Amino acid sequence: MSSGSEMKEGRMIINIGPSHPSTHGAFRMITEIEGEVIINCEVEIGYVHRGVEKFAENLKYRQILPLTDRLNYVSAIMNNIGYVTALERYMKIDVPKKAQYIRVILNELSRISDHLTCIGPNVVDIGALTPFWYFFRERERIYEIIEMWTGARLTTSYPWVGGLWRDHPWIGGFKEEIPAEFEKKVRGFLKTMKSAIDDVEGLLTGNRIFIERTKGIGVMPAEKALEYGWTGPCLRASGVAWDLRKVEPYMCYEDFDFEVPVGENGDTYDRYLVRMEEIRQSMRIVEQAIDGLPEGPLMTSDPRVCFPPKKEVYSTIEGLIRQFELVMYDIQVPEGEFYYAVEAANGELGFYIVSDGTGKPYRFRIRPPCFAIYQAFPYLVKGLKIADLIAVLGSINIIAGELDR
Amino acid sequence: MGIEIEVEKLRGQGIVVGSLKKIVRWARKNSLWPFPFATKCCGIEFMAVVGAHYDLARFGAEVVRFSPRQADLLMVAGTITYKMVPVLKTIYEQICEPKWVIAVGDCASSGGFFDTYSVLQGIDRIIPVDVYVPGCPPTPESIISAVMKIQRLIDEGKVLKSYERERPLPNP
Amino acid sequence: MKEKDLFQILKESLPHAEIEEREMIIIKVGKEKYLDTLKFLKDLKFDLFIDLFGTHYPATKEIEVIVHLYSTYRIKRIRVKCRVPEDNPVLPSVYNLWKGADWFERETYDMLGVRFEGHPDLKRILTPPGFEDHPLRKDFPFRGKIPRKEKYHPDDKRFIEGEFWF
Repeated sequence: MSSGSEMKEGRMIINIGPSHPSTHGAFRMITEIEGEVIINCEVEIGYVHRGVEKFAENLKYRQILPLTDRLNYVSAIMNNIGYVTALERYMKIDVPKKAQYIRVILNELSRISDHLTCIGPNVVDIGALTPFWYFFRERERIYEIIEMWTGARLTTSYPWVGGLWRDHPWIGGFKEEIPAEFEKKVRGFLKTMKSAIDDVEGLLTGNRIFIERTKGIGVMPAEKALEYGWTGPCLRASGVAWDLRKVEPYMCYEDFDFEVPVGENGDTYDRYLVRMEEIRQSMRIVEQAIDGLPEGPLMTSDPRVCFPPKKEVYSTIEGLIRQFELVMYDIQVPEGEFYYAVEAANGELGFYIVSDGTGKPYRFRIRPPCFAIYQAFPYLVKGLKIADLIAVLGSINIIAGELDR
Repeated sequence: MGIEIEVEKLRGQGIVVGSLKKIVRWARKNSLWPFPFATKCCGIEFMAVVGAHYDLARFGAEVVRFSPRQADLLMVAGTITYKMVPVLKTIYEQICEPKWVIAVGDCASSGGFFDTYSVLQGIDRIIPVDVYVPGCPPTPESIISAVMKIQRLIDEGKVLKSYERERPLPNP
Repeated sequence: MKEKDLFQILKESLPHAEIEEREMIIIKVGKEKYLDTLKFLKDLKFDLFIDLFGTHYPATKEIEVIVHLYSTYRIKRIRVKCRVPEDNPVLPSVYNLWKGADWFERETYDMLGVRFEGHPDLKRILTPPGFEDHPLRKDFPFRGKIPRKEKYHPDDKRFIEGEFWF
């Protein structure tokens, strides 16, 4: 691919550059083609590198939270939950059940939103325009529900160590009931989502053109996928039944009854099918969570992270001191290093933090799922045509914000 | 005086009377072809604007073109890093005159809250910008109101001159 | 029972390394035994390659390279740490064991300057071409080294040749 390489006659170098309608994000692919068949492909990333890891070494733990939700910006709550559960598991803080259930509902809604954003534009590149409109209408409904809870559509910065935000607009002071409107909206969403998914499955799954475009394209065998570091729906489509929600349950996932779909061949069609089935399983989890919502507080009362109640602040000196310390110096993470991972929409999202006892981390490392998946791209597209390259690129769900951090 | 009575008689019979400038501006503002240069989260909000709920097609901007030769409104949404700067500059120069630029979001307007070694602190360091949309990310209503502001700018006939004529060279 | 076995197996077969167990088993090795340890772990069926990155400790003038692995058979995580001096950070590459180390090693080279011998194509991946520093080192300011007040003109020679940012 360098300028010194010899090119036989009939070969061309095509640059699918950072600004291209079908690259969902900014990355460049330089392909060497002969006729229309790809001989070699090289990938260049780094167009959205913001230096988040370096930046986080100067911020307190509370200030890092908005940085994390700009990683995988399509499902921002999952990144927040990854960061917050890492801190909770290290500091051994118990979160009340009600907060965990609400977190699970928002988490699964974000996962549904991510899969919809993957499948929608992917099939648009293949040529089917209608599922895009159906799916984006459903995404607007998810945005409404998330905005109702967190106040923002896209970049929420909502969960915090120990539960949810205490000073939620409905939950001023000590009241912690959830209005009936929330439940009504979630159940309404589940109904319309089911009909949208059934419609799109009817349009695409048995469609002859879609099957011919995607079956056998971009095959990844299971051992190679494990070597490359693939996790998430792409690994499950290759035949390995691996889901961190079942293997290392966190955040009350063991209370829910759901299945993990596993594919057979590892081609583009399987990745599409695995994602569609995961949307259905996520809807099942949301339904179980909202049916069995327990009673209780929405935030732990652990003195390391939780503000004391206002009565104590104004009457006792200990309450005042605690309030002052938490506001001025933020939470104190004890010294040490730790790594914890969650199952984000694309795979394993891990946070490795080295803390040196001050209020700022010494080293903040994010393990991005897309990074490991995208490095296998030149292997996937050897011998395919350019149109197949576009189909494969859409199916592995690359989010440039996560890739480059 | 006589001309005005003649014009009054003509009106309402399927004939529009006006100056050429006004008609051209009316045609231009109601058929903007946007070029979305989306790199990050603001790109997702842009996709929501083009979607069916907040419809950008009502303003004539239905045809979202991904080639700079076919577009006239450049919407830069998302963080621009130093690696991306030559790409953005080339694309801006390839769009034919007259052209307008919207900087969508905080990262494009001023670097956002990423004050780091690889982020360009605002695209107005390299290309001239007509409308800035604040927000992280801005709501789709703000993006639509920015497009309406561009329409008002077109009505008044304002096109920013190209870069060399506007800004002086720094001292070498 | 399997946990005890794994810990014992590691303690017996890697006498030169320090092994402890917190949220996962952590192995500290020196530079010379790094590749052998990782080969041994691959034979022990640690097949899912999770992560490879580094941290800079200027107090002891060392860079620590960390590898995370996961075994889908035993359902166990493991971490391997290795320290190299910061003046001459060279380590053997594990690309032949796990292909996934490709981009992770390139990123460690880019951010910290650690060179991996045996890697097929070690070059910059995230920073722009022409960048000469290693950003994650502690002596590099997070705002970068470009003066902020300067505005760039497209006819500026540095911009045309692709090097305008330094």
